[in-house]
Formats: sequence, C-alpha cells, structure tokens
Amino acid sequence: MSTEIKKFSACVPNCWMNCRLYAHVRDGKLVQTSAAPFPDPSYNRICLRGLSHPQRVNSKDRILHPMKRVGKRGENKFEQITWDEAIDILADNLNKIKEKYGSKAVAFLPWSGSYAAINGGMPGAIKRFANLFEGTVVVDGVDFGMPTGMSQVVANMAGGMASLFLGPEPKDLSYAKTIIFWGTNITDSQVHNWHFVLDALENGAKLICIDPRYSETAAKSHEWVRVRPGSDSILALSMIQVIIEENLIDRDYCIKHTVAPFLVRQDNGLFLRQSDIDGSDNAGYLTMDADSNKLIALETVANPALLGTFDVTLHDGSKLQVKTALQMLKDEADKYKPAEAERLTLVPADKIVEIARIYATNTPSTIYTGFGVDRWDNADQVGRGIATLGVITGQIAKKGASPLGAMGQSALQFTISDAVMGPWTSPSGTMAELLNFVLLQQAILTGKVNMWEPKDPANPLAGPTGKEPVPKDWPIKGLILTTGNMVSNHAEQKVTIDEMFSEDKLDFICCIDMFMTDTARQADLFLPCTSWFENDDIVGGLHPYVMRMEKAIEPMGESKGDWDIFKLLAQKMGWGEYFKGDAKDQIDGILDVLGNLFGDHKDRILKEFKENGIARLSDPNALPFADGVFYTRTGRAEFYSEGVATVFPKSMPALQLPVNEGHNPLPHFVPPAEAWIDNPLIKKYPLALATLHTKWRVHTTFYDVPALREMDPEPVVYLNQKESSKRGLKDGDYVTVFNDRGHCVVRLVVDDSINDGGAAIPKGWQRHQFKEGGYQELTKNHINTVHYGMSFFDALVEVKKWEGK
Amino acid sequence: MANKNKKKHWGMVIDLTRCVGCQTCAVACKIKNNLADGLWWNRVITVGGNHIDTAGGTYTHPMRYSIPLNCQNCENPICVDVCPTGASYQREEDNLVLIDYDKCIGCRACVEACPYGVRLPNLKEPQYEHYDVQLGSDEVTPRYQGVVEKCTFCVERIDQGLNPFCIDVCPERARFFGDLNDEDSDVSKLIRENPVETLHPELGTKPSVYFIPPNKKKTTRTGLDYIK
Repeated sequence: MSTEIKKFSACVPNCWMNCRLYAHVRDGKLVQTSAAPFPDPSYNRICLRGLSHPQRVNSKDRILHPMKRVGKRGENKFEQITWDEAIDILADNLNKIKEKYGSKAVAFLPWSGSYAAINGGMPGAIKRFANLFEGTVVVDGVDFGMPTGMSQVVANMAGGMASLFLGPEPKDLSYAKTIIFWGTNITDSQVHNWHFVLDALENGAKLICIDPRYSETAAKSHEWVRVRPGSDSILALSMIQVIIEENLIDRDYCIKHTVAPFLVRQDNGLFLRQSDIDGSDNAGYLTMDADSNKLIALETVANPALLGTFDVTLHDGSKLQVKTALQMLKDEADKYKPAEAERLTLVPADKIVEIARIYATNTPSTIYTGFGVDRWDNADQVGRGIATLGVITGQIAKKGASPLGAMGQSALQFTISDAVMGPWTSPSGTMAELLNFVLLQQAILTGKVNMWEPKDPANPLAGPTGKEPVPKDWPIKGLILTTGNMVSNHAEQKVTIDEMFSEDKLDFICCIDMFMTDTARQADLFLPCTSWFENDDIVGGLHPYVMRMEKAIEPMGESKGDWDIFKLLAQKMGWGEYFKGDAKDQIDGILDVLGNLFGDHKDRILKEFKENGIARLSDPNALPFADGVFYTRTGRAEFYSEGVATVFPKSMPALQLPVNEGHNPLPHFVPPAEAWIDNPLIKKYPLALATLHTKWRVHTTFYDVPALREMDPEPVVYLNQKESSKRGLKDGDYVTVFNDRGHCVVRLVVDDSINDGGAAIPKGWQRHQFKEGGYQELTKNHINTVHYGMSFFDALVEVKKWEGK
Repeated sequence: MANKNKKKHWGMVIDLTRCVGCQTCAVACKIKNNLADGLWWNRVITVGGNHIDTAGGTYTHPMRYSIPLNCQNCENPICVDVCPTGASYQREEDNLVLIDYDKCIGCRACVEACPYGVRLPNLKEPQYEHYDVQLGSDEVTPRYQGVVEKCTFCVERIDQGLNPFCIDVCPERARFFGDLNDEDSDVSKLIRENPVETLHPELGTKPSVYFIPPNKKKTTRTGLDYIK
C-alpha cells in the first residue's frame, strides 16, 4: 500500500473553479493532488493545472526567503535577509510614507490569484491590515465591463459585478435546451462546467458558439458564429430586433417583470408618473391601457400597450409625447436589422435571424457569457444587450434559463469578501479607502484621481455633481502587493514599469509571492509566501459550497502565509491584538459571518462544515429572481433605465448617472475605443489583438510549471494563413507584434481558427520568457467612467518578421 | 454473466465526442507515475492543424478534435513478439502488457515496432531539472537509464480494484475502463451501443482501447459520475 496521507485542500486561482482536492503527502512533501469529493459528486473535479501543483510547490525556482533589492529597481538583483529585517523594512517604509503623505498613500493590492479567505485576497489578511492602517485598498477594475452591463438590467441598485452572482449554479446548464456561448471558450477556461453542457447535449440541447475564433468550444457546438471582435453589442441588438419584430417576446413576462409597459417621456427620458399628470405627489408609474387608450396606473390593467407612441397632457396643460420602454428598445434595435448588422458584425443576416429564433423558442435557453466580450471599452453594452435578450424572452430565473451565465449564485467566493465580512476585515472599525484598479495609474502618476462626486453621499441615487468626474487628491507612494501580478496583468506595461513603478513615483514596493514574477522583479522587498497546501483556510467557489483547506505540509523554507506575515507586521506596528492566533483560528469566525447571509440555512451550514469540512451554502432549488422582482430602481428588469449605475466610487446603492443628463438609458452600440474599422489607426495597425485565456495557465499562475511548459514551451501569436501570407510570414517564423505602445517577439503559429484582421496571443507569459518585450506592452488602459473595466482586447497591432536571433 | 474465474481483459473506451483536449489525463499520468522531463506515457493529440490546438479544414469550415493516446494494451502485442529477453510480456490473468525493467536491455526493438509510438526509451538517466522530490505514488516502480517505459494502465491501482488514474481525472467523464470480457461492464456496454473504432485495425494488433469517434452521434451511455 502507498505510504501517502491525504488531507483536504483546494486549488483556488482565478479560474473560479475552486476545486476541492486531496493533497497527498509523503515524508512531509506534497507528491500528488487528486479530486476530493463534493457532497454532489457532479462537482468532483481537477484539471491539468490542479494536478501540476507537486511540480510547482517543490520547484527549485520558488523563493523561500525574504529578499531585499540591491541595485536599481527592476534590475532583479536581490539579497537574502531575515524575517526580522524584512518586517522592520516594511514597517519603516509604511511609517515614513504615512508621516510624509498620509496613510492613504500606501496602496494595498490583494487580487484574484488566490480566493482563500484568510491567506488569499478574498478578503485576505492584507485587507484586515489595510483597514487597521487606514491605507488605500485597490479593488475592481478587471472583469467589470460586461457584468456591469448585465447588472444594469437586473441589479442596478448594486451595479458592478452583482449580476455574476445572480444566476444559477453551473449544474443548471444541464437543463437548458439551447445554450449560447458568447465570448467564452469554456472547454479551456472553465473546463469543469463543460460536462454539464454534455448532459444537456444528451437531452437534445442545441449549442451555439459566438466567437471570432474557432475555439474548442466552437468545435464542439452545433453552430459557430464568427463575429467581428468588438461588435457583439450590435449582434445582441439585432437579435433583439428580430425577437421584437417577429413577436417572439414573452409578453406576459414583459408586462409583469420588465419595464416594457412603462412610458418614457420624450422630453427628458424619464418614466411618466402620476405626478406628471396631476401635479400630486403620487410618484406611481403609468402605462397605456391598450383597450381603452387611457393612461392608467401600472399593474392595474391586464393589457397595457407594449409598443406605441402616445400623446399625453401634463398637469400644466402642455402636451408631451411618450413611448413605451419596449418601443424605445425597438427603435434602438431597429438601427441594427439583420442586413445592417451583417455589414458591421460579419455575421450573415440569415444566421442572426436563425439564432434569435432558436434562442427565443427552443427553450429553456441559457446564454453563457464570458470575458471575451468583457475586455472592451464597450463591454457594458454587450452585457446590457445579452441580459435584455433574457428578460424580454422570459429566459431568466427558470431551470435551464439564464442570460447571466452559469456563474451565478454559486460564485460565492465573492461573498466571502470585505463587502460582507465587516467585523472580520475591519476589526477596529477603521477603514481603508477603496480605489478602483484602473485609476491607480492616475493616482501614482499625477497624485490625483478623476472621480464622480455624488451630489449627496447619503443618497447615491441623486447622481453626481456634474457631467464629468472631478479630480481628487490621491497621492500613492507605496504599494503592497499580494495574490496577484499587476505588472503582468495591468494594461500598457511600459507605462506600468517605466513610469508607475519608477523610483521617483513610488517610494516603496513590497511584493508577496512564491516566484520571481514580472511584479516581484520590480519590488524593493520580496516576501516569500506559502502555497495553498501549506496553510489552513476557508474558501468558496464556482460551485455552491464553502470548504475548509487543511494544512497538508509545513511552510516550505521560510515562506509564510499572508496571515502570519501581516500578523508580524501588525505586532510591529501596535495592532497585535487584532492578529491573535493562527489562520486556523479565524475559520470559525469567518464561517459565522458568512452563515448570516444565508438566513435559515446558517445552522445547517455550520453543522455540515464542522462534520465534513464542506457545506452547501444555498438552496439548490432557489433561483435568484424567481419571484420576478429585480434589484433595480423600479424593481423590474430594466432594459431601459433612468440612471446608469457606475462602479466607482463604490456605494450601495450604486451611484446613478442620470439619463436626463446625457447617459444612455438603453443597450446601444458604442464603437470600441481603438480596435474598430472606423479608426484611422487601423491602416497602420490592422489587426485586433486578443490575449487569450488558455488551459496552460490561469492568468499568470502556472507560468513556470515544467510539465505544462513541455507541451506549451514558449509564447506564440496565432495568425491565419491569409494574414500570414500577406506579410510574407510562414509557420514557425519568429515575429514582432507591435504598435505605438510597445512590442513582443513570439513564434508564429499559422491557424485558420483565427479571424481575418485578428491576432491572438495566449496570455500569462512573463517578460523573461520572451525573446524581447511582452504582450502586455501592446494593450491600453482606456478608462470607461461607467464600468471602469480594463479593456485589454481593445488594441490594434501589426506583425512583421523579426530580424533578431 | 461475469464469471469470477474467467480471464479478465482490461480495456478502455474513450469518447471523442466528449473529449475537449484539456490534457488533464496527460498531466495526471505524468505526476502519478513521476515521469521524467520529456517523457509522456499519455499524450492528447490534436487532429486538425499542424500544432496542438490548431484547426484543420478551411477558414469557413474548420475542424478539430483530440485523441488521447496511451498504450493500447493490444491483444496481439507486437512489442512482446519482438522483445529478445521477455522483458516485454503479457500478463496471463488479464492480458495486461507490461515491462519487467530487470530484464530490459534497452535494445529498443519494441520502440521501433510499436505502431502507436507509446514506448519510451531512457537513453540517459531520467532528468528532473526543476525539483528534487519523487512525485506520485511510491507504488510505481522507478525507471532508470537503459530501460524502456510506457503506460501500465496504472497496474498498481487496478490490482487494488481502482481505475487507472487517467480514467478518474477526466473532467468531461470521457474515459472509461473495465473488463472487456464482462458483458455487463461499462466498457462492454459502450462498445455495444456505439460505433466504436480502434487505431490501426489493419495491423492486427487488436488494441484494447476503443474510441467513440467525434462526429458520430451516440445513442445511450453509461458511467456517470464516480470516483472509487
């Protein structure tokens, strides 16, 4: 028999799958991982990366001691120091910056490299410390584009990423009759949700994949729709156009649960209310009774008009035109009838009609949306369009039907976040300030941040003071980084390295990591952290469970978990009382706070967790919005809104940008900030770049695993045969991919999966793995003042043969 | 009816309509068997373009699918026939094709003879450049310079009534293992109910690994979620 012992653990990087694993230990070393059982075995899983941990944890390249920079920042020259010295350096620098600029000038950046609640970034010991220190915590900024748009329709009181937690669990996919994969290659990026799709397939489901590239997901779908990158909101609007035109809406659902029958004032874009008509203070909404042609209070008539333009008389005697909200949507969508949409999206008109009809009629229908459509300045419009498709057809909050993807209520690792952890993340009651990640660049470079200013901070629904964000002082002079690799993952890498991280902008940079990543190489102080198998912790996942992670092996070398690191720092700086005990001692407290979110389920959750180390959080039969009430200003699904929820500054409810001050109330098409046919720059840089999420890494995690590098040895760019031949390039050539912002040298792979006018580079490679440069030099930090999502794919490049060796 | 005394014949069924080329089974094997740098007992091959994960066909009608490829455990193994020392042998009780490393002289006749390219010689001492720990199960016999190695169907696991590791890890539940001589086994049922194919049937090796082709519709299937 084997001499291994097994402990329960989990692999929790930013794929969200958060697989429960066994850590197999022999002679105190991690030698194997394998899938550990979930109470529902359909969630049992592991993948090629989760299996590779023994190579990663035991890697000779792991840094096992605190390191201090010698030489210039970024030279990658370090010397080993003791933990005492390291904590002294850390505390000294924090105090120096606090004294000179204020505590807010130290930015703490926990990220998504680990979802573990205590030693990771969700919320993480780092946030607990940051709140004690009253620094800045950097949040959001990536993955916010598309979800913000979806939240606009179903949850604009919360805004931002809320929509991602308001769909069903992944298992719900197996009940769908139509599944549209939109901007996602889930066979590669979320491999564990695919077998639920296979279950649906066995029940006769139709699979449609919308993607500029012929991905594995496309290969396994019945229909593949090759769409022009950046045009997805046009495709969504065109499908909406077909569905309204052909009367394929769910009329009953529209009447009861959406704003379809609301009347929109044509003077100011707001909804018509009783008070507009009679001057009273009755702010109730009005609809037009289709039978009597009279204005009547919402919900008092069975047959309100869903389409139409009407004249009404206001209380002051003036005449006003109103249109139903559905009419407003139709008018917008009519701009993109299939023939016009074909011209812009490259999707044949008859295909648009076909998939719209299938979606609306071959139900229940699910749209599984991924971040391929998120990496754009116009991403929120795609989210709005897709969520609108779901609500006007009634394909939401039903088994097998959701436009919000199959991420939903099971993406509950986020509930273990500072938003709800309250007492755990701010034990003394003091708080850090939250700064959006895309604005960190401004803060560091200029000492100011352009922010919306609420008219009334106590009432975010009242909107901002002006039409633009206003500059606020926000100097950032120190950066404490953990669970992430921002130098690799922040757009415009040359600006990040040469300007943001320069010695005259940032006084001090501390990076906590296992390896010398792009970010670590720019640090002044490197602190070695533990892997997931060297700590106790608690974590959720893209499944309905919360689970315990058991310490399987001792921390290797001198590495420490984040809890232990910030405990040492807290003790040094006088906050030792808030960091008592070990990470293990924190678990019950966190579980208790988490349990409060689940009402009647709390006792069961605590009991199951205590007995089995894993507990199901929510009721498997409870679907968000099953009662037809949405978390919006009207309580209805708002494909038309009076206010557009912005992501920053963060508040609850979200700050609303008023539509009567120029913000668009409907899903609409906004041309991409850079990668679009109308941009003159396309003559110089004709290729739209996509930096793909592939199976070989999770963002930059696993960049250096030997087994994976054997199969995927070096950075590449994919171009199709036509684009390659045009440039005199052949398969295997080393090429420069470049634009005005930078370049990288990669090997060319010729592959007709890739669209004309497109170039694709799998992401996650570190700069030292390139012959020259890096892909992240090519991207731009377009700042979108609604969703504040970093738009990596909104970038144009050119490719030519590399003349080097 | 399964007869306890009847000889077993271990086989696999791999459903290519379900396989998405995720490489999980390949890496599972790599770690479990502590394979040295550059050695893979199980590889997942892309059928399509010239490189892994690329498409064949045309720009408007591309195609791709994946084939996991490990030792086929042939009923008529050429590698056993050509082995001069008897190091390559077929186990009496279950047809399993194995290598006795003590008898292997590294002549590589089997490497040349195997039509599936799944036998790997150790011309040098096995290298583990990036770590110093013996990974995987310590029940797996380490290999060394001079011997040939290959997939063993995880013989240590199946002798304990477990599945080969690649079977258990597949995220798409596309891999099945069992006794082809037992008509009630998962694999026997799948073979009866699906238009299965083997690799190079014309060579007469009679592989024990059956593939459900990617473009054929399936009728029924067995073998839902399980981990033994």
